[in-house]
Amino acid sequence: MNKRNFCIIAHIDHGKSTLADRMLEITGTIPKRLMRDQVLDAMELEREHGITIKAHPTRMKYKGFIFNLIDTPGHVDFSYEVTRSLVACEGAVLIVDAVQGVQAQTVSNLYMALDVGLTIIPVINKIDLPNAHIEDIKEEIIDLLNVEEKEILLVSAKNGWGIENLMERIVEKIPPPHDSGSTLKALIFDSYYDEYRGAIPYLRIMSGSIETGINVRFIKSGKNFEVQEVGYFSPKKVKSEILQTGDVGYIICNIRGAKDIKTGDTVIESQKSKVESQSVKPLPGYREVTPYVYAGIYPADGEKYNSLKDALEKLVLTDSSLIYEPETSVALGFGFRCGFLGMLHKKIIEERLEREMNISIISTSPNIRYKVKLQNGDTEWVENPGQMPKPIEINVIEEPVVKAKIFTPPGYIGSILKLCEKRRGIQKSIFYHRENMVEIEYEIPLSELIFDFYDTLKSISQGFASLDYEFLEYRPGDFVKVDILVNSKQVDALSSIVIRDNAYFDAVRLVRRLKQVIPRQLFEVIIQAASNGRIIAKSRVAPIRKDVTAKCYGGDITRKRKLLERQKEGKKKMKRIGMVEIPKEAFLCVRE
Amino acid sequence: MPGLYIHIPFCIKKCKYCAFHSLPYNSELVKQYIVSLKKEAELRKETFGKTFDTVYIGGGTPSVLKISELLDILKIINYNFNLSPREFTIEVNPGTVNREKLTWYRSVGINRLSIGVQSLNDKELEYLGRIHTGKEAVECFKDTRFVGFKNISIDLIYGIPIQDKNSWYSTLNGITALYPEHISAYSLSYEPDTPLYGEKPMKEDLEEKLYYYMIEYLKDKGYEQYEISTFAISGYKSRHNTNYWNGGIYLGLGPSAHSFDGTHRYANPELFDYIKGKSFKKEKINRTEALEEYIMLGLRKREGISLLEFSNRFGNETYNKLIKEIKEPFLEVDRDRVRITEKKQFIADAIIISIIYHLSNEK
Repeated sequence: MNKRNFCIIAHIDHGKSTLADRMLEITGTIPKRLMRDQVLDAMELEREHGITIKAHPTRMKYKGFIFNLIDTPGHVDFSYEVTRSLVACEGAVLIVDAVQGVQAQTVSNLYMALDVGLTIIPVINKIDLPNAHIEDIKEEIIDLLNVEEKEILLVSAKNGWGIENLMERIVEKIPPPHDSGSTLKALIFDSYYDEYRGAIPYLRIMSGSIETGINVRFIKSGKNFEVQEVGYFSPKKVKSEILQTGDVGYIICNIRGAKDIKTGDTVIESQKSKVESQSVKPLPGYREVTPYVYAGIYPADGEKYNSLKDALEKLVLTDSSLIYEPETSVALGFGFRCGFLGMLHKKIIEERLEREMNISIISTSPNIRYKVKLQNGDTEWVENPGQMPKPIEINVIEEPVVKAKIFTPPGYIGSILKLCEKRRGIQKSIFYHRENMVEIEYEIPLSELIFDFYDTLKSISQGFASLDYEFLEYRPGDFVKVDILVNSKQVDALSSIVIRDNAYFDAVRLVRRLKQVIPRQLFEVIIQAASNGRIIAKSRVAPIRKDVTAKCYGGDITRKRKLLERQKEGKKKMKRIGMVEIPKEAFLCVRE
Repeated sequence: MPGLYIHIPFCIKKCKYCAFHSLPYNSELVKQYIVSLKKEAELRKETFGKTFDTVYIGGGTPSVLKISELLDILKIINYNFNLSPREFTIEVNPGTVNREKLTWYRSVGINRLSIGVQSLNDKELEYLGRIHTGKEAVECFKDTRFVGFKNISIDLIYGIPIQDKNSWYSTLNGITALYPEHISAYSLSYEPDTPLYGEKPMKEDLEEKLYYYMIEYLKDKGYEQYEISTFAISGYKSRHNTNYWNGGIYLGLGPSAHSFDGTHRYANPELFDYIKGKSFKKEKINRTEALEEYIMLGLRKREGISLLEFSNRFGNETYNKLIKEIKEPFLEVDRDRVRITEKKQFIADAIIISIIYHLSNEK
């Protein structure tokens, strides 16, 4: 077969997008005169966070071969999406910067690629830079991949050096797709939303073929559709007659619900009889994507509730992993409780709301989802600490626990184990995985892992450790709700669920933090933390003692007025609770 | 009752806290300044009206000018405007005047002096970069009385980091012993681009004590507080300054002086541009800004704001919003007037911002 499906694995700024641009150019997919830098990185936010959320898989023609370049995101929040994209490939180009060398972030994705059996082509990029130390970096790669020196390619994507060689190497080394029969099985590895045509899945045809007019079934979502159009991206959308085994492309079948498309789902041909349908086994590796992190999102200006609602509706069409439902807060008014894959995902959604949709929002501190078993035998799911049932009604509160895998060079094991223990982790195994990489497995409560664990892990391992995790089960814990009162008024958006043993400590930390964030007001502000009706911590924001302009004569009036106007603008960024003005950041203090 | 202000941008030496526009005295520069002032007066009288109820010569240090120079300035304004001011003030710095100069001031119709004493404590005066001692200031005051001035104001500064309760009390004591008709007392501020900027200020609670102590003390001595920083014995409130706080019309001549004609504010350029003939910047005051200024200035006055006048000027809806924001213990209403309570004057700006913010809210 003359098809080569591959992805590019690289650390931020190591040149993934530039290399992709050169490939588009050399294959004539985009004529040079139309080239604009980094064609594949679409969204502004992606560039800023150094991650790719979504880029179309791109088809190129090279000397009679068809290349499909599949893009992958690069953050632990999206690790499941990464694995599905990798499964759509047979090979990966590993780019290492000639100055910076191998970086941890790449290692994690590299191992995922090796795990799904991809062929790796190592490439050193930016060899044109005067401070490139190619020999050292070759050694790093040899250590990492156990390859021979001659297998490592040298390129400068910026100048177009060595690209031809790389293309030849892709043809030569990356295996063609395996032909596994004529029964249609296609993997959905990503999707995007088109306002007119609905949700459009990206497929990798594993076996069989798909063409316009046939009826298909998505096994996991259980939906049936008639295929209205098939095609691929090159890099623009190109209609075609058929997608065959090994091809990568899209299908359009007027899918209106974003939830109908599940990344990792298998597309098969709908059969008349159910039995026949059920005989086709789904592709392995599918995972139900569930939000891990929940937070309240409110319009900063209460009147913008409907705009926020419209914006979320739009976002969810392009991002099916986002969920939301309306909720009300005494403090913040009408808003939504949203579920995210992780903290980065949350941040991206918040920034898209503010930048793309132009809505100023207030978000509450994130939390996980609790399973609350009640005395009366019912079970309740609690995604908002403010809505935790009364202690007297609760039999037991359970929290999600995950299986976390950490890869690290051996030097950092000590501090990593310490971190995991501190986060209530239970060690499952440690073993030397490949040459100088250790794999540590822990069971850790999700709430301990999801907020700042990843960043802490990166910092204690100088960036070299990587993390992946999956949901394991709900386990009971000894939890208690901590409420915050500001001048005796309970602020529901500041409630949190904490481990009973830490409640006092957490409450003190929180009231202290709030004291720092809440500016001094005309009167004294008393901040109290209460648990089970008892005050367990307290702090006080002293009133303003002095705020007066000494003189205000003819020449001072304009300047003074302008000063007041600026301060007035500052006040607009506050929420008023009772008489107290509370800044947006306060609502994020609970988890910091 | 429009007021005329003339800015004299010259000093012997700049005080360490002063952010006003001024330069060291230089007779050549003064000549050029007077030439420009003449042009400005001629130009402005055509558009601004000619009659003024008060005249105020401020600075800088107007008293650094020689008699002949000040005479030129007086000629300019007399020639161009109809002046028979009920209040005619000049700012005086101890160390720049003698009995001869003061006698001359009186002879030309100046009937009020504002003396920049600031403190009677020599260490504090040195800290502030003043050119005189406490004793010299007292002597200066006695000279003004000697030549017959009957309306004298003294400027004081409190909140000087090296100041304590005792030194402030003794300054207040020494000043009231002189029986000035009027006292302005300013909290020391640390303006950018002044030598004091970045200094560690006095602790707020101490400064607050000094302020409220002063109010009580001066009340006891027969002074009525009529603005946040201003006190007078009966019949001696400054008409010129009250006009600013009432939102009145004023014409300011000289570099960096400001004017207000009821709808526009004008800001003159600084000295060198002024001499080059550069014109003012003109800015229209829209309704919101007028409202903000009305609140900001009105609430600085002890008499506060007239609710009737407020509703007439800004309409019922805004009036109703204002009423909603009147809350103890920050604001109080006495018949038609709303004002900041005596004990909250030291946080006047915070109260004013809060009101302005709520008046600007849609709901």
